[in-house]
Amino acid sequence: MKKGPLKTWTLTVAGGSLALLLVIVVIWAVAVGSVSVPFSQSARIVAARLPFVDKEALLNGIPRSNKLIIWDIRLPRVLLAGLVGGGLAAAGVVMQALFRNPLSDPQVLGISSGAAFGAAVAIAFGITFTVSGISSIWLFAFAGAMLTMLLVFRVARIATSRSVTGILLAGIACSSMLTAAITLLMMWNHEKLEQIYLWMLGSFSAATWVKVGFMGIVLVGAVICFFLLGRDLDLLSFGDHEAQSMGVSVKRTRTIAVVATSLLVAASVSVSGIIGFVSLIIPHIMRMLAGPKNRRLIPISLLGGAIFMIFCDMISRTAVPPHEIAVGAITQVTGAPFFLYLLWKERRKGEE
Amino acid sequence: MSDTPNTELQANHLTYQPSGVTSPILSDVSYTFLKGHMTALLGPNGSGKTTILRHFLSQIKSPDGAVLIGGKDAQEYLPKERSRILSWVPQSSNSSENAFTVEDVVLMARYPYKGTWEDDSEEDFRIADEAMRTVDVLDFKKRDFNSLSGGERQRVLIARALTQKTPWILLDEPTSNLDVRHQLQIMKIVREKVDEKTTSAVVVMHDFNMVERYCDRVVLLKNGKIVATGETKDVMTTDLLSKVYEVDFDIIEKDGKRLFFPQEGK
Repeated sequence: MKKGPLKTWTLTVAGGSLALLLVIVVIWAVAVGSVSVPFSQSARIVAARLPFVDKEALLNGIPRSNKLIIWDIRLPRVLLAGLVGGGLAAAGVVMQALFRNPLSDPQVLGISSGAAFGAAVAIAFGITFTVSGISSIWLFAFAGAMLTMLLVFRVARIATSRSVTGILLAGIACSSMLTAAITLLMMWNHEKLEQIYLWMLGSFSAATWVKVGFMGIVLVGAVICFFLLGRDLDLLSFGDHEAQSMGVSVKRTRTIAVVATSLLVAASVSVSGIIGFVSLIIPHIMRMLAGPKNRRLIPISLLGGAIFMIFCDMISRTAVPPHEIAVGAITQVTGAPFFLYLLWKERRKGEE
Repeated sequence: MSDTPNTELQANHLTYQPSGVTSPILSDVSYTFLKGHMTALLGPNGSGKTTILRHFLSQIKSPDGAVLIGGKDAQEYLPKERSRILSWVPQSSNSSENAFTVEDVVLMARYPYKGTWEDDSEEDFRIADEAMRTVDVLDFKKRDFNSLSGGERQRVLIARALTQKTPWILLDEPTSNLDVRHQLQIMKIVREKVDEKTTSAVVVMHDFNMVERYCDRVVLLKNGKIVATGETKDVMTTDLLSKVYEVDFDIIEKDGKRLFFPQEGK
């Protein structure tokens, strides 16, 4: 890389700092909560699980209850928040490149609403069971997201050959239809209204290690796809024809990217509910840091999204004890003003 | 330069009529663009000039055997293969929402030569620098592409096409956004590349005087049909031009080149 070794160097430093910040935020987040565990203890409990360390020495003198709280309750929750935050941010980067629109994010594909509808059905009809750590609500949410995705693509393919607009329109239509269906479910099942509503706002309170593993596998798979397509996505931001004239297989790139993004969003929403704006704001902020090239932007956004989500989740757990604020509400409170700012900036650009 | 030295571009009874359009945009167009020439596609608005380019670029699906690149159906090429043969200078670029620098944009044209994980090499940077120097944009290579004026962008797009190192360059009204100095500069650069046998060119043009000065062959089109083809001096005649454009022309000779003046009022 010759394009200014300085730039690559600064980027490495930025990436390194973000990674370090992520580790600190993780340890901080597991330390705080209704039972406060000293920072040093939580660091040691987390570190004890790493390979090649002297476990006995690290855990010496730490109460068993603290170990349980940290390891079984808080750490999976914090990690899940990190994985979902990073995944949503990476999905946002790819969506913005694919749709050549800085305001597009995975929610417009209707996948989030699909997941919410699946979960709402499970809650409203009282379908609650758990098989080896996998709850029915989670399963229904994932199925709902996948079915919506298939429906959206199917409709988009029939409706128009202009795949981009077609998918966006089909996504928006499905999304409002499903939201209406959820509202009906809530009205018919008054006693479960709160539960459904909370799920729609998003939360990591039901985190388990199984969910962490599932989310981790999907995230790694999707990120590998995004990396493979990094250069293609750069070129695609100049439109299909120009990208193709420079050698990009446009259709293949779009298909892989859309499917990988959809799976990632479906997995995220199914484990945590709908958490808005992360996929919109993090890519924008990180683009200022990493520049527009997707191969640089994606890893930086992953880290940024993870830090932001863990931080928001920490606020949601600790702001008004013993209650929890839905984490989706916190990301929206921070995200919505930023969204407005983007619109305002866009408009100013148009007036110039 | 290329692994396919004798790639001719050939249209073979090419007819194009999208559904819902009453008259064909191209009808029975047959022409072989020969290597080593700078061929102009000339004709009034809506005569199908750009549509011909778009067929070679596979932006439009063509009937089997109607559009050939080096004897092979244009649609049988993978995009990456085709982009090692044809580069394209669009009339104006879709600006990206992203703040790519001029250098980033030009380097994108090295894509056809890159493996998935390969990063840009010293060689790629050298090729891009050379192309940017040729069209006078090297000074602002670190600037945001979106912040450039129309003419500056146009020159960057030409640098990008040169960076793609293809045996053919297809240019769609490359001078339409340029001031006269840069018009001459761009046409001269393309002419030189053709004379050096580095590339061959097909240029969609409106300006007769530019065609007369720089292009050695002309395909004259009207309403999607070829009216005349051949060497520039044989096609660019008052007879043919007034027939096609429905405007009369005066021709003045100066230094062995002809200047075309349209007349009002026919």
